[in-house]
Amino acid sequence: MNISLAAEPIFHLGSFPVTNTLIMSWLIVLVLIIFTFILKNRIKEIPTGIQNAVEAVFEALINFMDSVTHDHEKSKKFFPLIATIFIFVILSNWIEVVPGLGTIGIYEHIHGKEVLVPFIRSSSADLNVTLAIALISVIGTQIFGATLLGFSKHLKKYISLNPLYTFVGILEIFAELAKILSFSFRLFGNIFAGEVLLIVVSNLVPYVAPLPFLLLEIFVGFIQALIFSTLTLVFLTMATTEAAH
Amino acid sequence: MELLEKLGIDWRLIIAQVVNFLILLGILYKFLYKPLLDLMEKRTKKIEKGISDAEKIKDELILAEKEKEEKILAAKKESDKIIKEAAALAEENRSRQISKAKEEVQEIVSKARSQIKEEKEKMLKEVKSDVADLVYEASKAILGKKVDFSVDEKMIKESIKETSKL
Repeated sequence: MNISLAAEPIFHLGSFPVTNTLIMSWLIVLVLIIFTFILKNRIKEIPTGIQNAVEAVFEALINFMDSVTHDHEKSKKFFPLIATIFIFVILSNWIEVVPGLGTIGIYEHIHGKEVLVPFIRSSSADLNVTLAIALISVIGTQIFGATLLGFSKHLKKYISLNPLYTFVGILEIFAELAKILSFSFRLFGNIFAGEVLLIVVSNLVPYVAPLPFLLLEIFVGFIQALIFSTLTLVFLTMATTEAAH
Repeated sequence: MELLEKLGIDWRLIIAQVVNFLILLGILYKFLYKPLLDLMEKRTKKIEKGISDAEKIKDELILAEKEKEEKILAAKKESDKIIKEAAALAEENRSRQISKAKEEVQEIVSKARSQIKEEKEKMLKEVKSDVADLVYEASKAILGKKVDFSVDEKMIKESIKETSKL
């Protein structure tokens, strides 16, 4: 049993390591794109089948967003980012409940030892992925703040001639950096821990015993995706609201 | 740096993941979110319009029903009036006709009476003259001879007077 904090490279393209989490991300993106193109041609005024389900999810999501932003127009603007984060994160989280987690792979020699490099690893159990989404979330917040509030107004939050506000501005900049760290480590920590838990339990008692943990991990995966997107939404709302001072 | 390596952080991988995510975001936005959200919004508006239209139509229907009833009531009133008028007119006509007929009858009757009276008088006159002649002839026959007219005249006249009294 080998548990690595970092995602393991399956192969290298030149010096670029293609990790199992990167492959999983590609897979998720590919599946979603295929799904989108299948659904795209079936979108009808009177919804049927899958369209109904997707609309129900969208409706629930946008209603939830309305309850945070209190502004339907804003919700509509934020929807693509929030929905994509939610869908991508929840799917990467749920990879860990796919059978074959940590067991199907190739043997590689790493540091003189022969270890199994699994193909299946939650994308969210890789700091690169969570950092990437956290960066997009924080940078997206800045972009929305600058476009919806006006660039100069947005900039005033961080830079001011008033010494007191300059100090506040510096704190704000640190807060933004802290956001990136908290976003990425929270998701990574939860999903990585879940994965380790599942691998360990499956190794100890292969039958029945992992079942409650699988259900738990499905729940955790949903909650983490919800937290990630909701926090992004809250930061977006805060960034696009006029500052109190 | 060692920590970053242990955590497996690699800027190339981060960029790859960011690109991955942005591609997903772009495609989902263009082909799923936008068309579907637009459609949902359009449908919501359509349904809202349909409901308000239905409400309006319902109100109009109630109004029309009311109007219809009012019209029926008015028509009933009108027809009642016309019938009453017609009845009154007929009654008047009838009474007039009757009175006219009565008058005519009266006229005819009175005409007939006067005619009868006239006839009677004429007849009486004729009868009187006839009687005088008859009496004269009869008395001539009875007396056998022609009497002196002047003597008898008095008697004749008396007898005529007597007969006319009859």
